Parts: sequence; structure tokens; C-alpha cells
Amino acid sequence: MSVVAIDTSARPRCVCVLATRDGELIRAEATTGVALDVALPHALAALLDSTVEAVVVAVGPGSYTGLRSGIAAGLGVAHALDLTLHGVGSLTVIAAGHPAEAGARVWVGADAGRGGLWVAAAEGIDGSWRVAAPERVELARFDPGGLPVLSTDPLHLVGLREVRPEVALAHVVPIALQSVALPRAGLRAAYVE
Amino acid sequence: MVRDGREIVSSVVASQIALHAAHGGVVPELAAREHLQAIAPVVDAALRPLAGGWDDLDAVTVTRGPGLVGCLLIGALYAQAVATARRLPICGVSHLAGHVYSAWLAEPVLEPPFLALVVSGGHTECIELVAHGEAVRLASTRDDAAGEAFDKVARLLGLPYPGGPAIQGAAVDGDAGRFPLPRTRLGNAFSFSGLKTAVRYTIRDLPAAELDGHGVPGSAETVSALAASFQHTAVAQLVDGLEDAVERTGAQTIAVVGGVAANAALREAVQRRFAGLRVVVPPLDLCTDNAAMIGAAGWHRLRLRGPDPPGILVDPSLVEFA
Repeated sequence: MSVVAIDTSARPRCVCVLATRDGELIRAEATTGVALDVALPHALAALLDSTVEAVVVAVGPGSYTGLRSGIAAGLGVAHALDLTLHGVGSLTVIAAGHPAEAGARVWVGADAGRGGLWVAAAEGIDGSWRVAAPERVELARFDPGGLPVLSTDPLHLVGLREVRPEVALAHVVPIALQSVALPRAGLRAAYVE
Repeated sequence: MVRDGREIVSSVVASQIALHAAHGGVVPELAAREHLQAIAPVVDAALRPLAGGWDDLDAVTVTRGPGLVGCLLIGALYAQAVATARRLPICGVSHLAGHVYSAWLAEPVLEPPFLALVVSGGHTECIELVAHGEAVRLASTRDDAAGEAFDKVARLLGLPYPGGPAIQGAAVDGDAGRFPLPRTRLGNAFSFSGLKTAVRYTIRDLPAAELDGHGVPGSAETVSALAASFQHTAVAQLVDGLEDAVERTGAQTIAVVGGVAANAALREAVQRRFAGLRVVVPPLDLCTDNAAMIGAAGWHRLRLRGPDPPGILVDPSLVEFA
């Protein structure tokens, strides 16, 4: 059995994966600079098969239109196949792409556009990252204080450790599946409101 | 849900009018949020009459434009995900073609060719549906759409959004002859900005004692008279334009569709002016935005052109009538 996961929080980038429930990457479809109305349907057509049993979607922070597009596509799959839809924070996705050593402390960051940075502190506990609530700061003024910064974006930051988005998205699947399924009515993206 | 393109099995609409009324018009960001929240419950309600639910579907059609890009993306991506998951054919449809096909839905024996006046908040177009899948554009507006003019004039008169029903209501007892307003016709084009400005100048030139602190006429009688005069003139401009198209094409059948076609004065004027022709004006629930008309237009598109491949492009400025 498998899970489809969608992350369109960084609007120019569309990342979709088919993964096992344990977070092992089976197949990935990732594009950058392709319009989401083209990239997302192509990715779903390439990934969806009869083994899919749940859908995971990144719910923010990130691009408003990107997030809503990803959630709409994830909702369509979950609704039509009567599967559960699970939301997961965009920075939690990024953190999952890096091994979490017990007691380790890092920053997790994502390009917020217009000189901004979405950033959250994370701590390694029991083999996974506990990610704090994200906040938006000015990229030029952000000081990591000597801690590593995990990101899927090529940010100009000392201590940057780039994470592969498709690997991160697959690895976050077991974490996302532990969350309560999203309701199909009244869906909204986090950090959009 | 539409069976064989023409039988409406279910038609469900989640209206956002109350939400946007507080802002005096549609707020794109709020509209996109609302679409995401409403789309699954609306589809569930539309599926309810089908005994087999999703299994009873043969195809999916979805609006790909014109409209607000954030809203179009939600519909197009949700629909394509559904079609991919259920292995159903899908096609993207123009919202304007949907309005044209609302006449075809409303009149069981109607077939092209026929003229259609498409009048809504965003569009004023006169087209000829020559055959299924083939339309010719005959006239459009140079500036404001008719529905947009109703909204703007309603605001000038201190009436609520949406302006169509508000002006129609205020005009009932109004003296349409008290404030004569100019008609505008630019060649084959419609124009409503001059009419709107004429209302504005009329209000500006009222005695100061007749205006409240916001520059809105304080007298209900004056508001009614201006609403009646504006509605009379706007309707006359639409009917004149339609008559011009009838003369040019020799059409024997005409349809008036879109949200403004719900206006009682326009419905009456069209029936009166074109008494010798076959006139189709859909019932009110097919004039205002609905998905049954998208199903009907999409049914023809699928039949004539086959399904679209994955990646239906949304187009906020799409101009397509069939």
C-alpha cells in the first residue's frame, strides 16, 4: 500500500511523491518553473495507482495560491477515492529530509519571497524533529547563531544544509499519517488566513 | 450532474454573495478561500441523487476561464484530481460557453443556429451559436459590463451589492422619466461607462439638500426614479444591440443568458421587442452562475473534440463561446 504526498508551498516548485506508509520513496514527480495547472495534473497522472490508501498535503507556510492548488488537488484524490487527507506543515516536511539525532538543534527555513524567510527552530527527539511554530523574518537580518539551517531552497545563509524536496516529502509521510485527517468541508490552508 | 448533456439530475450552488456584499464587490482572496472550503460539500450534495455515487459518473467537465485565477485553479485542479483518480475523461469549458448552453438546457427543442446575448457582471457579448462547438462573436462591450454598471450605479445610489436585484427592487415605483439619461451605442459595440457617469453627474447636480453626508440621494423617491431611469436605459441599450444583431444575421431564434438576464425589465423588454421571433430566456436559476450549464457545454465539447489531456490550462481572460 502507498501514500500520495503533495507539496506546492513554494509556488514555482511542484513536488509530488508516491511513498510507503513508512516514508520510503517509491516514485517522485518534481518540477520547477512549470505552472501548477500543468505540473500537478501531470504528476498525479504519473503517480496514482490502485495501491494508494491515503493522501498527504503540505498546508503552509508558503505561497497562498500554491498551497490552495496543492490542497485542492489532494482533496480531489481523497474525495474521489474516499481516502483520508492529512495536512502537514511545510517546514516539518523540510526537516524530515535530514536525519534527526537526539538532542540536535537546527533551524528549518524556506524562502518566503520579497526578501523574507519562513523559519522555525527544531530539536531532534526520538528520531524525528520537533518543529516549533514558524515565523516570518527578514532573510538579510536572520542570524542562525551557529546552528545549521535545513532548507530545500538555495538560501544565502551560513550553515545551510540543502535537503532534497522529494526525499523530505516521502520521509514526512509517517509523521503526517499520525495527524487527524482533515475534514473535507471547510478546508483552509494554514498561514493563509 | 447532467445526464446526456441536457437533463439536470442535480444542480448545487454555494453562493458567496452574502460574504462579498459586506465589501461592496467580490474580493478575490476571500473568493478563493471560500471555493476551497465549499467544493467537496457541494460535490457531495450534487452526487446525492446518484444511486452509485462516483461510480455512476462517465465524465467530468470544469470551468477553465474566464474568471479569478485563484478560484479557477481550485476548480480545475480538484476536478482533474477527481478525473485522474476515477479514470474519467475530463474537459475544460469556457464559463461563457456555459451561459450560452444554459439556453439549450432551458429549452428542450432548441438547437443552433441561434443568437445569444450573454449579459453578466463581467461580460456583455452578443454571439451567434452557428453549430454546436462553433460560435461567432457579433458584439461586445467597449468598457463596463452591464452587470458591472448595475453594481456601480447601485453603489452611487446607496443600494446594496449585488446591484441587479437592488436596482430592480428600487425601480419598481420609480418615475423613469424624471431623470432622462443618454443611450450609448458605439458601432457594433455596447458601452455602459457613459451611462454610469451620467447617473453620477445627475446625482452630483442634485440640490445639496437632497444628498446625505456621503453624497448619496437621501430621498427614496429620487433613488427610485434614478434606479428606474438607469434600468430603463441600460435595458434599452441591450435590446437595441440585440436588435441590430438580429437584423445583421436574420436570426429567427434568440436567447438572453447570464446573471443580468434575471432582470425582470430585460426579460419583458426582450419578449416585447422580439415578439415575432422565438425567444428563450432561461429560468432564474439557470441565468445566475451554475454548474449544470458547464455540464451541458462540456458534454458537447467532449462529444466533438474528445477529452483534454492532463494539464488543463486555466485562462482568466478566456473568450470562447462554444
